[in-house]
Amino acid sequence: MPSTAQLQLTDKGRLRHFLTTEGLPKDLMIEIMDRAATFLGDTPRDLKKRPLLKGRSVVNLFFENSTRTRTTFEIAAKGLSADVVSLDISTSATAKGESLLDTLKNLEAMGADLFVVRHNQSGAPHFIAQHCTPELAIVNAGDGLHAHPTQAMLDMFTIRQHKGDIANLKVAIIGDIRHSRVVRSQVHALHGLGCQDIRLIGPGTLLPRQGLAGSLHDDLREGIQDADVVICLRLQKERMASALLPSEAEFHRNYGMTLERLGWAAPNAIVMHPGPINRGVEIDSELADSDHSVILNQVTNGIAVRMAILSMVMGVEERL
Amino acid sequence: MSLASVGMIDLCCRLGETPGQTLAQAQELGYDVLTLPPYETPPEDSPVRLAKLGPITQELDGEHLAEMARYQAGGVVGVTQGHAPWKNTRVQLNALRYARGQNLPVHALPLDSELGRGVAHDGEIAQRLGLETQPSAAETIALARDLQLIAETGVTAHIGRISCAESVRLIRRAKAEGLPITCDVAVTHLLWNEAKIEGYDYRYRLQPVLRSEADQMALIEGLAEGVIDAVCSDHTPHPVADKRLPFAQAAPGAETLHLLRSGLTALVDQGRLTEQRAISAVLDAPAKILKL
Repeated sequence: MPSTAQLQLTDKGRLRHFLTTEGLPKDLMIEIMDRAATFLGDTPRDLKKRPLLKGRSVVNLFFENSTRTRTTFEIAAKGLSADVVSLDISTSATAKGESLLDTLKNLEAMGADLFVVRHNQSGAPHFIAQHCTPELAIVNAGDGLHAHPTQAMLDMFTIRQHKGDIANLKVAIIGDIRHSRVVRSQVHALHGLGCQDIRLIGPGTLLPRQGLAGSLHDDLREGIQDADVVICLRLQKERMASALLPSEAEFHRNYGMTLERLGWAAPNAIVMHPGPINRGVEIDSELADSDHSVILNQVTNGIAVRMAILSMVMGVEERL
Repeated sequence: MSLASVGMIDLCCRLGETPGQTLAQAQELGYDVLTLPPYETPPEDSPVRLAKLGPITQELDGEHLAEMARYQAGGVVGVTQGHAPWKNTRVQLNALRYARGQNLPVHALPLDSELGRGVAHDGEIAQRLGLETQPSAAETIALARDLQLIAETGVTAHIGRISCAESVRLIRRAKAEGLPITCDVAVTHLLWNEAKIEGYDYRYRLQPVLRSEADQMALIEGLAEGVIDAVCSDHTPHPVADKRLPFAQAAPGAETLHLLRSGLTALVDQGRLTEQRAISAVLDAPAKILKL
């Protein structure tokens, strides 16, 4: 079967779907970021709307709850003048009888052009892209532990905005690396953009054994030494219940980012977080609210990057 | 006798929703005997000879001993817990001891229930695809425990469907120490490895999971040298609606009856296995294990 990286491209190497940053050609990533930049105004309120998807319908298909991601996709689609419908389909409802394929066929019959899919199963957007009609485009809004490629691209965009060429940077990512779809997508994107120094930091239970580019560190200080970019991840409460961590407090003592610890990183290092923040767990308020933090920029950039991606998978080829 | 013409004895075949069709297919493919796991309900007039395994605990609950003597009177050739978990090790010890008393062979499928929950081998591919992983230790921990309890009770035991190099090593050592056990591998694990699941290919969601290429090679070597006695089809038909799903949700198992002869033939052609050894793996060894 085709890999996810192959499935998302057309014969001409354009975006047919947007499923993963793994194997995504560098020029496409740069095009996404360049296009996103054209949507940004001087302040978050001046996002530049353009009717590139007028008459097209975008369906947000969320099998897993996420108000934030869904809302940014809605704003992005509306910013392009698309018709937008959001459906929350809890996985329990589909488990009651209707299979994913049946749900999909029903929705296809309603004449959508693009599905934005979030699902708790790794590979579900890949599965949908394989089985849907060829006219339909799929954008992955997060699948299981596998990928969250639009989040990764907005992070790349934010890093480039503040630090320039990603190839020359040292990037440290702290937290639950093993169970994070965000990290997988970030690492593939960083790697694809030429970043040579990616550090993945966390206790052994939260680090992957293999399969990701980047060095593994269980020591925070060693991991963030001279880093230009420090990305904190949200710590999920379930990790304590499944015996992967003793407590949030112990995680904070060993891996929590503070203004003081940021001193170990490079001068002018930026701090990022995909949100929502657990203040006092993975990051202190003092640091999250400091000038080093670009967390709110990430949110605004997220809309511009999603506008870029939606327009590209819909085949809007116009050089903006 | 040649591999092409031998009437095969399969140590594990599930009949699925259309037993008649499965049996007809087995007959056409040249199977003489199929071994059915507990709770399969074949039609009265099977065209292929059937050997049945009974449950070792009631409804495979892992907690209450099944009426093994009654099953034995009904003609079962052995008892098994399948991949269902044991409530605890004491129940398992008692069950093996009871089976020994009834002179019933036990077919053990080693899998730790907690570590075994993962859907793909704990390797580079599963990590990349974001699938919950199943380390080889899911099998070897259970196998080591099974071997200790087999030695403790003296029960006649067969180890089914091993999937990794470390299990081959454990079996080799146990046999060298004189433990009278036999062992099989599913043909799928001789032919394929974890690379098959790329692209979330749900057809290759199996239990036990497909492991690394090194594991695959160790299984082939284990078979060639006789550490692994037999090869089975592990045929597991599912309705397409249960299989065509995102990978982790797809029911484990595949339709593999057609692979047993062709897979072994390919290994013989590649020079990995003698024809004599391949024939023994689907004829003499399973016949001895089933006491046919």
